[in-house]
Amino acid sequence: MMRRIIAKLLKSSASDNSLNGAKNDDIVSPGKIIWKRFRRNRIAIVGSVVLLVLIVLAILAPVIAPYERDAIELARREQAPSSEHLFGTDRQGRDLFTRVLYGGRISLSVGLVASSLQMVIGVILGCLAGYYGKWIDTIIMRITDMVIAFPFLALAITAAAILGPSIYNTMLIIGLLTWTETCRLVRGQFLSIKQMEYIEAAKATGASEFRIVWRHMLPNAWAPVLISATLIMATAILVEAALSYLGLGVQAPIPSWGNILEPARSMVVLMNMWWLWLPPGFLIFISVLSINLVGDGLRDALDPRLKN
Amino acid sequence: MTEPIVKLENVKKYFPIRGGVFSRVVGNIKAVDDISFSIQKGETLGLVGESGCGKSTLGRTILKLLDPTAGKVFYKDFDIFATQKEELRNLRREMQIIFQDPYSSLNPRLNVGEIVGECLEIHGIAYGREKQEKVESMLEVCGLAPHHRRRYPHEFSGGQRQRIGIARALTLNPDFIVADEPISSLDVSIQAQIVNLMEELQEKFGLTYLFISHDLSMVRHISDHVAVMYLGKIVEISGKKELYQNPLHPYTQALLSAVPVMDPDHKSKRIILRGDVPSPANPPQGCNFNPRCIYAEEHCRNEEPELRDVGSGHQVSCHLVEKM
Amino acid sequence: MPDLLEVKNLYTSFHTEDGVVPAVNGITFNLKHGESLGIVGESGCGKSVACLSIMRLIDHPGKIKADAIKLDGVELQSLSEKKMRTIRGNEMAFIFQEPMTSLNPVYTIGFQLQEAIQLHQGLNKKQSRTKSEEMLKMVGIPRAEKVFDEYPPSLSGGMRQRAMIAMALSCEPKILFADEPTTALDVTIQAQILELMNDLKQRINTSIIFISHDLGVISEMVDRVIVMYCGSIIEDADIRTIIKNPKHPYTFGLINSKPRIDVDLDKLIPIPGSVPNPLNIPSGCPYQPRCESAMDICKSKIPGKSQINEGHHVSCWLFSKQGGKIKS
Repeated sequence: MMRRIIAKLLKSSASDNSLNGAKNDDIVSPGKIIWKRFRRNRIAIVGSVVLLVLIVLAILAPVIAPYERDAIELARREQAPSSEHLFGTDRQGRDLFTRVLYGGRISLSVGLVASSLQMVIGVILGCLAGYYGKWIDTIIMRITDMVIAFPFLALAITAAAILGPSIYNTMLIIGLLTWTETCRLVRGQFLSIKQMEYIEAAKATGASEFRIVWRHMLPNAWAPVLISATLIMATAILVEAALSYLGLGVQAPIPSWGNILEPARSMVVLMNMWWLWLPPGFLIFISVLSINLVGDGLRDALDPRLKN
Repeated sequence: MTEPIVKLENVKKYFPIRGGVFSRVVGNIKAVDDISFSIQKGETLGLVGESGCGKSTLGRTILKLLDPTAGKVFYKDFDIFATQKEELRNLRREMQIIFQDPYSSLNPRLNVGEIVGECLEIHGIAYGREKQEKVESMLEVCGLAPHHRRRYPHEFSGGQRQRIGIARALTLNPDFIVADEPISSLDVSIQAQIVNLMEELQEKFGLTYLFISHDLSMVRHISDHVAVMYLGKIVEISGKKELYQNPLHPYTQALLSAVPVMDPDHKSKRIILRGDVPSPANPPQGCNFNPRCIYAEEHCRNEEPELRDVGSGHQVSCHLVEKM
Repeated sequence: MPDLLEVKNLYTSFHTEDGVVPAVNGITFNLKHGESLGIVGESGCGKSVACLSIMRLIDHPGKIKADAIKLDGVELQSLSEKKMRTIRGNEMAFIFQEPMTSLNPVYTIGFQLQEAIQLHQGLNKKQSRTKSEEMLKMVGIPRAEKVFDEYPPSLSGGMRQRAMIAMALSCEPKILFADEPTTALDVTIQAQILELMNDLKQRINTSIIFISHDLGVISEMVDRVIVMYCGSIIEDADIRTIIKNPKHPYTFGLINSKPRIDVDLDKLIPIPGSVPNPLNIPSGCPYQPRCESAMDICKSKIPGKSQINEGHHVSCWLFSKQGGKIKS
């Protein structure tokens, strides 16, 4: 109620009295408003910084890493962390710090690619369903329902077992199983944007359908898509870790945070060799947490205000 | 008399009501039901009626923004409903629309220059620098500053946004404009600005308006002819003076008497209508208006009246005109 | 006998993340027993917020500050929230603009009405049902016994507003706040509701504060008018004086910018510019940037209240004894 009153108070007036000045350096573009709102959210900023650090570390892995990624040194197996091996060594005597750095590359890129893939699928299907409606909508929504109805992890494991474990299959499986939310969001957005008078205005000026979708509908629909894409990226990292941990995802010798965890299936490792599982586990935790924080920050920043 | 620029012949627009398991059509909402009239070049036809009477639907159907159910609309010599894609696109340069809600009628992600100038790109008229100049001069014509081009809709007040909407409609240099409640969501003090602007532009560019509104005072001010709509039909249409001074249809009479007058000395002989507007999905038998009409007689309930001329272009659809 | 309602220097502001919005900026007025008072102004002028503040219906992030808000001589600000709740509904009731959002769609009209009556009047179930049906009949709802068991969405806008009025009047409040009660309705339905309210005004002795942006509606409903702009009262007088002899350039502008149903005007005279942003109210008189008679002093100092006649006050330098000269 109070929000409505305040919105009403602010609505009728020009946002800025300086509108009359000829200067244009104070233009408040929608992007600027979003950035301003995002910046106010301290926790989201912390999340972004942590995420950025993780990404930089992953990119710079070949430069930072003290050892070869797959260099086996059987003589120094299962050593506890020391000044030589910051995170210790694994069962084949490989440097864990190096492998965790390289593992970040894989884990983060699986998250990014899988999430982008689901976004592309979801946006295209959502556009079609929301814009054309009728039978196209019915078919797409029934497919969506079917995908949602499958138990996600069970399906992912089965698919991985059938397709065979690899990085690309992992990306593909996650992407193909998570687009439903995006599709529904885009469809919902399109249904409401379709009612907007600016869409009618575009039609009245003779704009083509492609132009209406591309220039008028999509730019107004992407906010929730972006939010859900970040959150799905976090899910993707977790799913990749789970699959790789089970040996169905990324395969050794290529490291990912998930398959570095694999030895932790043994009770002995879990109890006595904490360095084998704690660093990758912690990094999964940190990256998922920071991505979620960024997602929450985006949600707050992209919220209504612009729509008034 | 000048020639009509827009001519409607028995235009109908029904919205199907779907129901049941297989969403079959179980009925129709007759939003626009058999409407004919014409608009003369350079004049303003005011279209008044209460919410839900179908006046906005009619405005959009004329421009073929909604697919018509039946009937014909002629714009100059073109049969609008029969035109094909490319031809219709070209016609759109000559017919434009101004919307009610200055908040939802402007795309919040585009700046003013992009909003106003988009149609120039669509029709391949001007790009880049040239487009910019055209947009700037149009903004000035509509009472905004050229440098507003780079700003975004949310930075403007309601009245200014409506000016942007008008600038967008006028950039293609149209002849005919449907103004769908262009002032009803604006503050009182701003409404006059917009109406004055529309009048100036009409004079300057020789525009023809279909001015759709529920504000009877404003319609009286801006129109040359006025049509009154009730439940999807025109019940009365006439020259402005004639209609306001000598309303013949009982609905028009009630409508005009219901408008509050800003004068404490005004003694109104107000006709209070009974009940509400019936649903257009299930309109009453006979004359649409009979359940609320104080004069209704037996044949009003059975027989549908036709819109007929009662002299000097004053058309009414009421059985009882002569008796009143 | 003291005035029924006395409001002195009421300030209400909202603390948003973009800054402080001063919605009501020190308004002072009173309401006599049985009087109907109109508050006119454009959207955002603070007219609704002022009334909500009097009923203490402003929540976070809003803040209310006033020297006095007295109902029948009782200072409302010193009352506890619990006490205030019994005053709302019993002594002061509110009718909103949008009846759809103010009635709860999942309860029947009758249930909501009965609840209000039971809560405030301590009647039993049977008594309150009879009373509810009486109220529905009083506001001109046909088939009141049936409507009692219907849900709000099944009623038309006009019927819903009647039900709202029935609910507001059910406890015979001393003051009825009507916030644009007819704005969302069609003219013919508006005529029905205005007629009903005028009729009720004569039958029950309730004072009404009628908020509207439409001077036409106001002039049919009230005895006295307050004109608000940017959270301040800029003019107040009886309705006749305001319409026939307005003094403040803004009131003047409001009247002249409106077309008339009964007279043909050659040209409308609009008020230039737009309502200033409440986050950035201009210095001096808030109306000064849009005022055609603005003088130097208007830009720097806020004008005080000057009396034109008994019961006619205006806040404008043109009429102030200390500054400026009166233009003819």
